[in-house]
Amino acid sequence: MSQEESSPDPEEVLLLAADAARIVLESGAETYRAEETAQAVCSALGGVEAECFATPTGIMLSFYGLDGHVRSIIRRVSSRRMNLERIALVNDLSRKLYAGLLDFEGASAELGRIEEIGGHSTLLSILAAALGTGFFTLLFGGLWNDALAAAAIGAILSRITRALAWRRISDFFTNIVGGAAAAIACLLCARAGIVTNPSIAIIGVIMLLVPGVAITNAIRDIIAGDLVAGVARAADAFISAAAISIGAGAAFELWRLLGWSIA
Amino acid sequence: MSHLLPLLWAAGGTVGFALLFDCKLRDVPLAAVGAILGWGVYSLALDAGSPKTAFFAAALVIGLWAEIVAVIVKRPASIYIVCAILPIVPGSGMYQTMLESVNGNLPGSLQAGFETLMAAGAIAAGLAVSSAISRLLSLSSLGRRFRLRWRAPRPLDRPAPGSDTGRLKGGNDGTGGHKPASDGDGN
Repeated sequence: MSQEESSPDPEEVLLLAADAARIVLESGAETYRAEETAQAVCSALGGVEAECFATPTGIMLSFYGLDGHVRSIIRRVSSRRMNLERIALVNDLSRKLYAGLLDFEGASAELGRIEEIGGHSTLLSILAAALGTGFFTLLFGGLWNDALAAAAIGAILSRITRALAWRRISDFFTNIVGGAAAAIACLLCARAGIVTNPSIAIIGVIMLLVPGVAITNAIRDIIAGDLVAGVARAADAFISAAAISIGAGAAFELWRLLGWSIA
Repeated sequence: MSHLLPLLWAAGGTVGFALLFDCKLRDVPLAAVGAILGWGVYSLALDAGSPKTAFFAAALVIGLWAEIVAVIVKRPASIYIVCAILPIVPGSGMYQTMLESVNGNLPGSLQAGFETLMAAGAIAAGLAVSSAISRLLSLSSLGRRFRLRWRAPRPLDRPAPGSDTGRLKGGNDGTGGHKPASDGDGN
């Protein structure tokens, strides 16, 4: 690990490592991946020893430079949106850095490129939402008409939640709106005779919001010994589920008040 | 036939969500195959045994598939796990749990919540076992060597900044070593 001659400025390395960890975490990766990424970047670029502690909402990173000084940095992570391609790319970057295939300049340029990567096009993600909700409605025992209605509602819902997230509306409120919109739309379709099993269609649509993966990852984190991250993720999962159910529950209540039946 | 159609639907749903999660197009079919395997094992095990076994077995198979694919294409296994696990993951259970409590039905909420946590726990255990198996078989020997090496460097050739070194080193030796253990102590 003697890269003293060519080793870049330790502060810059620390920033690069923190950014890599932040990108990974914002893209929805596990906390251990963020920790390992930051440690890999630091030690590949001349840190003697790096320790990183990440939770779903923030990163703490400290490192011994070759000059004997200890430096540390804290990064908050406020918005998380699944982007698997970014996770794969950052993983690739830290692998290359460690193998010595990339130097500091190359790595920071690469990381900048990764940060710029957006998602798929709007059309494709609308299609994807329709595909996902439609097929899951079928999987949960819905009929063809349920699935088609759920696909249409899911496509619209995915745009609504994306638009709310853009405007920095809190996740809690977004989930309430999403749950209510899904339930109202499915119940209306049921009333119009398009949907046969509204409750199955609602669950299919709500797959877009529901934290099934989050609760599983929470338990995975706890099993792996990342207790803080696991408990934080579990809390997040229950709060989002609560918000969705508040929205859907309000829609059901409205239906009851109007005296309409919920099949 | 009635057993085969759900496989197709699980795959279709996984494709949709993989794209929604901005998965690269060439990774999508790999995730879909994982979902088919997972749902197939899940429904077979559900016929034979309890739901918990079914969740565990399905997660185990999905995890192993993802680890094998990850080694071949050199990408993290979790991108395939996240997509392929979606059909069996208890998302609707979470919704049901909170919906029952919003409606004020405590027994129903506890029932649904308990089943959801059981399912999530079984899936998490299956994934943990699959990653342990892949480590043991050194499927991910590349990744493991990578991990051990970057933990390894000790500050032996660090220029000594004076009397502070001893204290720093002492504290360092105490907390260094395996990450999970030190995380656990910290919390």
